[in-house]
Amino acid sequence: MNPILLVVLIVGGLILIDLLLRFARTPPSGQLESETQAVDQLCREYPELDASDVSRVVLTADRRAAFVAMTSGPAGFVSGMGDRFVVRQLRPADIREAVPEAESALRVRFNEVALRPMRFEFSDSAERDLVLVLLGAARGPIQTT
Amino acid sequence: MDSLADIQLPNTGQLAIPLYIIGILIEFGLVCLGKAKGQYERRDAMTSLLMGVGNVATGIIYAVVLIAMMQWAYSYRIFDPGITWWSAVLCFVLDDFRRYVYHAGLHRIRWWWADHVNHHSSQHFNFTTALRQPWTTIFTGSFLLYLPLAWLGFHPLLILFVGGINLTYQFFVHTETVGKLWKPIEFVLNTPSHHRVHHSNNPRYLDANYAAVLIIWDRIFGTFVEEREEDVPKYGLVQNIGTFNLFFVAFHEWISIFKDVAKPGLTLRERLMYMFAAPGWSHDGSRKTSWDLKAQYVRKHPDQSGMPGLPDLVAKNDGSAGRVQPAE
Repeated sequence: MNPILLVVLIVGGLILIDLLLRFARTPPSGQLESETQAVDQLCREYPELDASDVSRVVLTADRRAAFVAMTSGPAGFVSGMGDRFVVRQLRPADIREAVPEAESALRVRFNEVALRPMRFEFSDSAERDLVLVLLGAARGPIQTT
Repeated sequence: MDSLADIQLPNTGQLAIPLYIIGILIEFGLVCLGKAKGQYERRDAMTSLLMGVGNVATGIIYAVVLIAMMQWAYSYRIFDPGITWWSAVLCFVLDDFRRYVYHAGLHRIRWWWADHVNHHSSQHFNFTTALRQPWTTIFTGSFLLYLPLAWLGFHPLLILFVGGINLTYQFFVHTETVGKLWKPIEFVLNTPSHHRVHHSNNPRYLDANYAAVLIIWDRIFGTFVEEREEDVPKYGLVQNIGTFNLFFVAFHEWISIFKDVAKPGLTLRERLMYMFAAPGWSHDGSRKTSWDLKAQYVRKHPDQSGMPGLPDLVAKNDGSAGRVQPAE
Protein backbone atom coordinates (compact mmCIF):
# COMPACT_ATOMS: atom_id res chain seq x y z
CA MET A 1 0.00 0.00 0.00
CA ASN A 2 1.20 3.48 -0.80
CA PRO A 3 2.77 4.88 2.41
CA ILE A 4 1.11 8.27 1.93
CA LEU A 5 -2.29 6.63 1.54
CA LEU A 6 -1.59 4.61 4.68
CA VAL A 7 -0.77 7.75 6.67
CA VAL A 8 -3.88 9.50 5.34
CA LEU A 9 -6.02 6.52 6.30
CA ILE A 10 -4.61 6.33 9.80
CA VAL A 11 -4.75 10.07 10.52
CA GLY A 12 -8.15 10.42 8.90
CA GLY A 13 -9.46 7.44 10.83
CA LEU A 14 -8.20 8.85 14.12
CA ILE A 15 -9.81 12.24 13.51
CA LEU A 16 -13.11 10.73 12.42
CA ILE A 17 -13.33 8.39 15.40
CA ASP A 18 -12.38 11.16 17.84
CA LEU A 19 -15.04 13.48 16.42
CA LEU A 20 -17.71 10.78 16.59
CA LEU A 21 -16.81 9.97 20.18
CA ARG A 22 -16.95 13.63 21.16
CA PHE A 23 -20.38 14.27 19.73
CA ALA A 24 -22.10 10.95 20.25
CA ARG A 25 -23.97 9.98 23.39
CA THR A 26 -21.35 8.67 25.80
CA PRO A 27 -21.65 6.90 29.13
CA PRO A 28 -21.62 9.03 32.28
CA SER A 29 -18.25 10.08 33.62
CA GLY A 30 -16.68 8.28 36.55
CA GLN A 31 -18.59 10.15 39.23
CA LEU A 32 -19.63 8.51 42.45
CA GLU A 33 -23.34 8.81 43.12
CA SER A 34 -22.97 8.05 46.81
CA GLU A 35 -20.69 6.88 49.58
CA THR A 36 -22.27 3.46 49.17
CA GLN A 37 -21.09 3.27 45.58
CA ALA A 38 -17.55 4.08 46.70
CA VAL A 39 -17.68 1.27 49.25
CA ASP A 40 -19.14 -1.11 46.65
CA GLN A 41 -16.32 -0.30 44.22
CA LEU A 42 -13.73 -0.87 46.95
CA CYS A 43 -15.19 -4.20 48.07
CA ARG A 44 -15.56 -5.32 44.46
CA GLU A 45 -11.83 -4.78 43.83
CA TYR A 46 -10.80 -6.12 47.22
CA PRO A 47 -13.29 -8.92 47.98
CA GLU A 48 -11.48 -9.76 51.23
CA LEU A 49 -12.82 -6.46 52.65
CA ASP A 50 -16.18 -6.21 54.34
CA ALA A 51 -18.41 -3.20 53.93
CA SER A 52 -19.28 -3.42 57.63
CA ASP A 53 -15.63 -2.58 58.42
CA VAL A 54 -15.95 0.85 56.84
CA SER A 55 -15.84 3.58 59.46
CA ARG A 56 -15.99 6.71 57.28
CA VAL A 57 -16.21 7.75 53.63
CA VAL A 58 -14.99 11.12 52.41
CA LEU A 59 -16.09 12.15 48.93
CA THR A 60 -14.36 14.93 47.03
CA ALA A 61 -16.43 17.98 46.14
CA ASP A 62 -16.75 16.85 42.51
CA ARG A 63 -17.61 13.31 43.63
CA ARG A 64 -14.94 11.88 41.32
CA ALA A 65 -12.95 10.37 44.16
CA ALA A 66 -13.48 8.96 47.62
CA PHE A 67 -11.30 8.01 50.55
CA VAL A 68 -12.59 5.18 52.70
CA ALA A 69 -11.52 4.70 56.30
CA MET A 70 -11.61 1.14 57.57
CA THR A 71 -11.77 0.05 61.21
CA SER A 72 -8.54 -1.80 60.56
CA GLY A 73 -6.14 -1.92 57.64
CA PRO A 74 -5.21 0.62 55.02
CA ALA A 75 -7.57 3.26 53.69
CA GLY A 76 -9.41 2.67 50.47
CA PHE A 77 -9.18 5.02 47.50
CA VAL A 78 -11.64 5.18 44.62
CA SER A 79 -11.05 7.58 41.74
CA GLY A 80 -12.92 8.18 38.49
CA MET A 81 -10.99 7.14 35.37
CA GLY A 82 -13.01 8.06 32.31
CA ASP A 83 -16.30 6.29 32.89
CA ARG A 84 -14.70 3.68 35.13
CA PHE A 85 -12.89 3.73 38.45
CA VAL A 86 -9.42 3.05 39.75
CA VAL A 87 -9.37 1.51 43.21
CA ARG A 88 -6.55 1.04 45.65
CA GLN A 89 -5.78 0.30 49.26
CA LEU A 90 -3.39 3.05 50.31
CA ARG A 91 -0.76 2.59 52.98
CA PRO A 92 1.44 5.48 54.15
CA ALA A 93 4.29 3.96 52.13
CA ASP A 94 2.19 4.36 48.97
CA ILE A 95 2.08 8.13 49.40
CA ARG A 96 5.12 10.08 48.27
CA GLU A 97 3.64 13.42 49.19
CA ALA A 98 0.33 14.84 50.42
CA VAL A 99 0.29 18.63 50.51
CA PRO A 100 -2.65 20.76 51.63
CA GLU A 101 -3.49 23.56 49.25
CA ALA A 102 -5.76 26.55 49.51
CA GLU A 103 -8.63 26.16 51.99
CA SER A 104 -9.78 22.64 51.34
CA ALA A 105 -7.64 21.09 48.62
CA LEU A 106 -5.05 18.36 48.76
CA ARG A 107 -2.40 17.50 46.22
CA VAL A 108 -1.20 13.92 46.39
CA ARG A 109 1.72 12.23 44.70
CA PHE A 110 1.80 8.46 44.81
CA ASN A 111 4.77 6.13 44.78
CA GLU A 112 3.05 3.93 42.24
CA VAL A 113 4.02 4.75 38.66
CA ALA A 114 0.56 4.00 37.28
CA LEU A 115 -1.11 6.53 39.62
CA ARG A 116 -0.31 10.03 38.49
CA PRO A 117 -0.33 13.04 40.86
CA MET A 118 -3.84 14.22 41.67
CA ARG A 119 -5.44 17.24 43.25
CA PHE A 120 -8.55 16.79 45.32
CA GLU A 121 -10.97 19.47 46.42
CA PHE A 122 -13.09 18.72 49.50
CA SER A 123 -16.16 20.46 50.84
CA ASP A 124 -14.23 21.87 53.78
CA SER A 125 -10.84 21.83 55.44
CA ALA A 126 -12.00 19.36 58.09
CA GLU A 127 -12.61 16.69 55.46
CA ARG A 128 -9.31 17.49 53.78
CA ASP A 129 -7.47 17.15 57.10
CA LEU A 130 -9.25 13.88 57.79
CA VAL A 131 -7.98 12.48 54.50
CA LEU A 132 -4.48 13.59 55.46
CA VAL A 133 -4.80 11.46 58.56
CA LEU A 134 -6.14 8.53 56.53
CA LEU A 135 -3.15 8.73 54.22
CA GLY A 136 -0.83 8.70 57.20
CA ALA A 137 0.42 12.15 56.34
CA ALA A 138 -0.86 13.64 59.57
CA ARG A 139 -1.81 12.45 63.03
CA GLY A 140 -5.27 12.79 64.45
CA PRO A 141 -8.43 10.89 65.32
CA ILE A 142 -10.68 9.62 62.57
CA GLN A 143 -14.21 10.69 63.34
CA THR A 144 -16.75 8.17 62.20
CA THR A 145 -20.14 9.18 60.85
CA MET B 1 17.52 -18.26 -1.49
CA ASP B 2 14.97 -16.15 -3.35
CA SER B 3 15.52 -12.55 -2.43
CA LEU B 4 12.69 -10.74 -0.73
CA ALA B 5 12.18 -8.71 -3.91
CA ASP B 6 11.44 -11.87 -5.95
CA ILE B 7 8.50 -12.97 -3.86
CA GLN B 8 5.14 -11.23 -4.01
CA LEU B 9 2.88 -11.76 -1.05
CA PRO B 10 0.26 -9.26 0.08
CA ASN B 11 1.15 -7.15 3.11
CA THR B 12 -1.76 -8.41 5.14
CA GLY B 13 -0.99 -6.15 8.09
CA GLN B 14 -1.25 -2.97 6.06
CA LEU B 15 -4.25 -4.13 4.07
CA ALA B 16 -6.14 -4.73 7.31
CA ILE B 17 -5.97 -1.09 8.41
CA PRO B 18 -9.06 0.01 6.44
CA LEU B 19 -10.85 -3.04 7.89
CA TYR B 20 -9.95 -1.91 11.39
CA ILE B 21 -11.32 1.58 10.81
CA ILE B 22 -14.54 0.29 9.26
CA GLY B 23 -14.91 -2.28 12.04
CA ILE B 24 -14.55 0.33 14.76
CA LEU B 25 -17.06 2.66 13.08
CA ILE B 26 -19.61 -0.14 12.70
CA GLU B 27 -19.15 -1.40 16.26
CA PHE B 28 -19.36 2.13 17.66
CA GLY B 29 -22.49 2.82 15.62
CA LEU B 30 -24.19 -0.35 16.86
CA VAL B 31 -23.27 0.39 20.47
CA CYS B 32 -24.39 4.01 20.23
CA LEU B 33 -27.73 3.03 18.75
CA GLY B 34 -28.23 0.45 21.48
CA LYS B 35 -28.28 -2.38 18.95
CA ALA B 36 -25.36 -4.21 20.49
CA LYS B 37 -23.65 -4.68 23.80
CA GLY B 38 -20.51 -2.73 24.55
CA GLN B 39 -19.23 0.64 25.62
CA TYR B 40 -16.96 3.30 24.25
CA GLU B 41 -15.27 6.05 26.27
CA ARG B 42 -13.47 8.71 24.29
CA ARG B 43 -10.18 8.98 26.18
CA ASP B 44 -9.92 5.24 26.58
CA ALA B 45 -10.56 4.66 22.88
CA MET B 46 -8.15 7.37 21.73
CA THR B 47 -5.47 6.07 24.09
CA SER B 48 -5.89 2.64 22.55
CA LEU B 49 -5.72 3.96 18.99
CA LEU B 50 -2.67 6.11 19.65
CA MET B 51 -0.93 3.17 21.31
CA GLY B 52 -1.63 1.34 18.05
CA VAL B 53 -0.05 4.11 16.03
CA GLY B 54 3.02 4.00 18.28
CA ASN B 55 3.15 0.25 17.86
CA VAL B 56 3.23 0.63 14.07
CA ALA B 57 6.02 3.19 14.33
CA THR B 58 8.18 1.17 16.75
CA GLY B 59 7.30 -1.96 14.83
CA ILE B 60 9.39 -0.76 11.92
CA ILE B 61 12.55 -1.27 13.97
CA TYR B 62 11.27 -4.61 15.20
CA ALA B 63 10.49 -5.69 11.65
CA VAL B 64 13.98 -4.84 10.43
CA VAL B 65 15.55 -6.96 13.18
CA LEU B 66 13.01 -9.75 12.73
CA ILE B 67 13.41 -10.04 8.97
CA ALA B 68 17.19 -9.98 9.23
CA MET B 69 17.20 -12.75 11.83
CA MET B 70 14.67 -14.84 9.93
CA GLN B 71 16.68 -14.54 6.74
CA TRP B 72 19.77 -15.69 8.61
CA ALA B 73 17.92 -18.67 10.10
CA TYR B 74 16.30 -19.48 6.76
CA SER B 75 19.71 -19.75 5.14
CA TYR B 76 20.36 -22.75 7.42
CA ARG B 77 16.95 -24.31 6.83
CA ILE B 78 16.41 -28.04 7.30
CA PHE B 79 13.58 -28.47 4.81
CA ASP B 80 12.45 -26.50 1.76
CA PRO B 81 8.66 -26.60 1.47
CA GLY B 82 8.59 -23.50 -0.73
CA ILE B 83 5.57 -21.25 -0.90
CA THR B 84 2.51 -23.39 -1.64
CA TRP B 85 -1.01 -23.56 -0.24
CA TRP B 86 -0.15 -26.44 2.05
CA SER B 87 3.08 -24.89 3.31
CA ALA B 88 1.06 -21.74 4.05
CA VAL B 89 -1.51 -23.73 6.04
CA LEU B 90 1.18 -25.62 7.93
CA CYS B 91 3.09 -22.41 8.59
CA PHE B 92 -0.09 -20.76 9.84
CA VAL B 93 -0.78 -23.57 12.30
CA LEU B 94 2.78 -23.67 13.61
CA ASP B 95 2.93 -19.88 13.86
CA ASP B 96 -0.35 -19.92 15.74
CA PHE B 97 1.16 -22.40 18.20
CA ARG B 98 4.19 -20.16 18.53
CA ARG B 99 1.87 -17.29 19.37
CA TYR B 100 0.12 -19.39 22.03
CA VAL B 101 3.42 -20.23 23.71
CA TYR B 102 4.62 -16.65 23.49
CA HIS B 103 1.33 -15.30 24.85
CA ALA B 104 1.48 -17.64 27.84
CA GLY B 105 4.97 -16.32 28.51
CA LEU B 106 3.76 -12.74 28.20
CA HIS B 107 1.46 -13.36 31.16
CA ARG B 108 3.83 -15.38 33.31
CA ILE B 109 7.20 -13.67 32.98
CA ARG B 110 7.26 -10.12 34.30
CA TRP B 111 9.85 -8.89 31.77
CA TRP B 112 7.52 -9.92 28.96
CA TRP B 113 4.43 -8.80 30.88
CA ALA B 114 5.87 -5.30 30.95
CA ASP B 115 5.50 -5.26 27.16
CA HIS B 116 2.04 -6.83 27.14
CA VAL B 117 0.39 -5.18 30.15
CA ASN B 118 -0.66 -2.09 28.24
CA HIS B 119 -2.80 -4.19 25.91
CA HIS B 120 -4.78 -5.29 28.97
CA SER B 121 -4.84 -1.85 30.60
CA SER B 122 -8.16 -0.73 29.17
CA GLN B 123 -11.22 -1.25 31.35
CA HIS B 124 -13.24 -1.48 28.15
CA PHE B 125 -13.40 -4.26 25.59
CA ASN B 126 -14.07 -3.18 22.04
CA PHE B 127 -12.27 -3.06 18.70
CA THR B 128 -10.10 -0.16 19.81
CA THR B 129 -8.77 -2.38 22.62
CA ALA B 130 -7.40 -4.69 19.95
CA LEU B 131 -5.19 -1.87 18.71
CA ARG B 132 -3.84 -0.96 22.16
CA GLN B 133 -0.47 -2.50 21.43
CA PRO B 134 3.01 -2.16 22.93
CA TRP B 135 5.90 0.05 21.95
CA THR B 136 8.64 -2.04 23.55
CA THR B 137 8.47 -5.47 21.91
CA ILE B 138 12.02 -5.11 20.64
CA PHE B 139 13.20 -5.43 24.28
CA THR B 140 11.51 -8.79 24.79
CA GLY B 141 13.66 -10.68 22.31
CA SER B 142 10.49 -12.29 20.96
CA PHE B 143 11.92 -12.27 17.44
CA LEU B 144 13.97 -15.28 18.54
CA LEU B 145 10.77 -17.34 18.72
CA TYR B 146 10.33 -16.92 14.97
CA LEU B 147 13.65 -18.60 14.22
CA PRO B 148 12.47 -22.23 14.51
CA LEU B 149 9.88 -21.56 11.79
CA ALA B 150 12.55 -20.18 9.48
CA TRP B 151 14.91 -23.06 10.31
CA LEU B 152 12.16 -25.52 9.43
CA GLY B 153 12.16 -23.94 5.98
CA PHE B 154 9.22 -21.55 5.93
CA HIS B 155 10.17 -18.49 3.93
CA PRO B 156 10.31 -15.30 6.06
CA LEU B 157 7.80 -13.56 3.86
CA LEU B 158 5.42 -16.50 4.21
CA ILE B 159 5.79 -16.32 7.99
CA LEU B 160 4.97 -12.61 7.90
CA PHE B 161 2.06 -13.21 5.51
CA VAL B 162 0.35 -15.80 7.72
CA GLY B 163 1.19 -13.67 10.75
CA GLY B 164 -0.67 -10.76 9.23
CA ILE B 165 -3.74 -12.92 8.67
CA ASN B 166 -3.47 -14.15 12.25
CA LEU B 167 -3.33 -10.61 13.66
CA THR B 168 -6.24 -9.50 11.50
CA TYR B 169 -8.37 -12.35 12.84
CA GLN B 170 -7.47 -11.42 16.40
CA PHE B 171 -8.77 -7.88 15.90
CA PHE B 172 -12.29 -9.19 15.45
CA VAL B 173 -12.38 -11.17 18.72
CA HIS B 174 -12.04 -7.96 20.75
CA THR B 175 -15.73 -7.18 21.09
CA GLU B 176 -18.72 -7.52 23.39
CA THR B 177 -21.18 -7.20 20.51
CA VAL B 178 -21.05 -10.91 19.70
CA GLY B 179 -22.22 -13.60 22.09
CA LYS B 180 -21.24 -17.23 21.87
CA LEU B 181 -21.00 -18.65 18.37
CA TRP B 182 -21.91 -22.03 16.90
CA LYS B 183 -20.46 -24.75 19.17
CA PRO B 184 -18.01 -26.25 16.63
CA ILE B 185 -16.55 -22.78 16.08
CA GLU B 186 -16.32 -22.17 19.81
CA PHE B 187 -14.54 -25.50 20.15
CA VAL B 188 -11.83 -24.89 17.57
CA LEU B 189 -11.39 -21.16 17.18
CA ASN B 190 -10.65 -18.27 19.47
CA THR B 191 -13.88 -16.28 19.65
CA PRO B 192 -15.08 -13.04 21.26
CA SER B 193 -16.43 -15.10 24.16
CA HIS B 194 -13.10 -16.84 24.74
CA HIS B 195 -11.20 -13.59 24.43
CA ARG B 196 -13.52 -11.75 26.84
CA VAL B 197 -12.40 -14.30 29.40
CA HIS B 198 -8.77 -13.58 28.56
CA HIS B 199 -9.15 -9.83 29.03
CA SER B 200 -11.08 -9.96 32.26
CA ASN B 201 -9.64 -9.67 35.77
CA ASN B 202 -12.18 -11.98 37.43
CA PRO B 203 -10.08 -14.44 39.47
CA ARG B 204 -11.29 -17.53 37.60
CA TYR B 205 -10.48 -15.92 34.24
CA LEU B 206 -6.93 -14.78 35.02
CA ASP B 207 -4.19 -16.31 32.88
CA ALA B 208 -6.58 -18.21 30.63
CA ASN B 209 -7.31 -18.52 26.91
CA TYR B 210 -3.97 -17.50 25.43
CA ALA B 211 -5.02 -18.52 21.92
CA ALA B 212 -4.45 -16.33 18.89
CA VAL B 213 -6.70 -18.11 16.34
CA LEU B 214 -6.94 -21.74 17.47
CA ILE B 215 -8.37 -22.21 20.97
CA ILE B 216 -7.45 -25.88 20.76
CA TRP B 217 -4.00 -25.08 22.18
CA ASP B 218 -5.65 -23.88 25.41
CA ARG B 219 -7.81 -27.02 25.51
CA ILE B 220 -4.76 -29.25 24.97
CA PHE B 221 -2.54 -27.56 27.53
CA GLY B 222 -5.15 -26.91 30.23
CA THR B 223 -5.40 -23.13 30.03
CA PHE B 224 -8.96 -23.01 28.69
CA VAL B 225 -11.75 -21.43 30.73
CA GLU B 226 -15.29 -21.03 29.41
CA GLU B 227 -17.12 -17.74 29.79
CA ARG B 228 -19.84 -18.13 32.40
CA GLU B 229 -23.08 -16.16 32.45
CA GLU B 230 -22.99 -15.86 36.23
CA ASP B 231 -19.42 -14.54 36.22
CA VAL B 232 -19.62 -11.54 33.91
CA PRO B 233 -16.17 -10.47 32.74
CA LYS B 234 -14.79 -7.28 34.24
CA TYR B 235 -12.07 -5.90 32.01
CA GLY B 236 -8.69 -4.46 32.81
CA LEU B 237 -5.84 -5.25 35.12
CA VAL B 238 -5.94 -6.61 38.64
CA GLN B 239 -4.78 -3.12 39.62
CA ASN B 240 -5.97 -0.79 36.90
CA ILE B 241 -3.80 2.10 35.84
CA GLY B 242 -4.93 5.58 36.71
CA THR B 243 -3.79 7.45 33.65
CA PHE B 244 -4.45 7.94 29.95
CA ASN B 245 -0.97 9.39 29.48
CA LEU B 246 0.56 7.44 26.60
CA PHE B 247 4.08 7.47 28.05
CA PHE B 248 2.95 5.90 31.32
CA VAL B 249 0.57 3.50 29.60
CA ALA B 250 3.48 2.27 27.51
CA PHE B 251 6.24 2.25 30.11
CA HIS B 252 4.70 2.06 33.61
CA GLU B 253 5.50 -1.59 34.21
CA TRP B 254 9.06 -1.19 32.90
CA ILE B 255 9.58 1.70 35.34
CA SER B 256 8.11 -0.39 38.15
CA ILE B 257 10.47 -3.27 37.35
CA PHE B 258 13.49 -1.04 37.54
CA LYS B 259 12.30 0.57 40.76
CA ASP B 260 11.82 -2.87 42.31
CA VAL B 261 15.18 -4.17 41.09
CA ALA B 262 16.93 -1.09 42.49
CA LYS B 263 15.46 -1.50 45.99
CA PRO B 264 18.19 -1.63 48.62
CA GLY B 265 18.83 -4.79 50.62
CA LEU B 266 17.72 -7.37 48.06
CA THR B 267 19.67 -10.45 47.11
CA LEU B 268 20.65 -11.05 43.50
CA ARG B 269 18.03 -13.79 43.27
CA GLU B 270 15.32 -11.42 44.51
CA ARG B 271 16.33 -8.76 41.97
CA LEU B 272 16.18 -11.33 39.17
CA MET B 273 12.83 -12.56 40.43
CA TYR B 274 11.44 -9.03 40.21
CA MET B 275 12.40 -9.12 36.54
CA PHE B 276 11.49 -12.64 35.51
CA ALA B 277 9.11 -14.19 38.04
CA ALA B 278 5.34 -14.07 37.57
CA PRO B 279 3.71 -10.63 37.75
CA GLY B 280 2.75 -9.93 41.35
CA TRP B 281 5.71 -11.75 42.86
CA SER B 282 7.36 -9.85 45.72
CA HIS B 283 10.25 -10.67 47.99
CA ASP B 284 8.18 -9.88 51.10
CA GLY B 285 4.83 -11.32 50.02
CA SER B 286 3.29 -7.87 49.92
CA ARG B 287 1.79 -8.37 46.47
CA LYS B 288 -0.41 -11.03 44.94
CA THR B 289 0.14 -13.17 41.89
CA SER B 290 -2.73 -14.50 39.80
CA TRP B 291 -2.45 -17.74 41.73
CA ASP B 292 -2.82 -15.92 45.05
CA LEU B 293 -5.93 -14.13 43.79
CA LYS B 294 -7.48 -17.38 42.59
CA ALA B 295 -6.73 -19.09 45.92
CA GLN B 296 -8.20 -16.12 47.80
CA TYR B 297 -11.35 -16.36 45.72
CA VAL B 298 -11.72 -20.10 46.39
CA ARG B 299 -11.26 -19.59 50.13
CA LYS B 300 -14.18 -17.18 50.01
CA HIS B 301 -16.20 -19.41 47.63
CA PRO B 302 -15.23 -23.00 48.53
CA ASP B 303 -17.97 -24.41 46.29
CA GLN B 304 -15.89 -23.16 43.34
CA SER B 305 -12.80 -25.15 44.32
CA GLY B 306 -11.43 -27.07 41.36
CA MET B 307 -13.65 -25.38 38.79
CA PRO B 308 -11.97 -24.39 35.51
CA GLY B 309 -9.57 -21.55 36.16
CA LEU B 310 -9.59 -22.05 39.93
CA PRO B 311 -7.31 -24.13 42.17
CA ASP B 312 -8.45 -27.27 43.86
CA LEU B 313 -8.01 -26.47 47.56
CA VAL B 314 -8.91 -29.84 48.99
CA ALA B 315 -9.14 -30.52 52.71
CA LYS B 316 -6.96 -33.46 53.76
CA ASN B 317 -8.06 -36.03 56.35
CA ASP B 318 -6.06 -34.24 59.01
CA GLY B 319 -8.10 -31.06 58.45
CA SER B 320 -5.31 -29.12 56.79
CA ALA B 321 -5.89 -27.72 53.33
CA GLY B 322 -4.03 -29.34 50.50
CA ARG B 323 -2.87 -27.16 47.69
CA VAL B 324 -1.90 -27.73 44.11
CA GLN B 325 1.23 -25.59 43.87
CA PRO B 326 1.88 -23.82 40.61
CA ALA B 327 5.31 -24.40 39.11
CA GLU B 328 7.65 -21.45 39.80
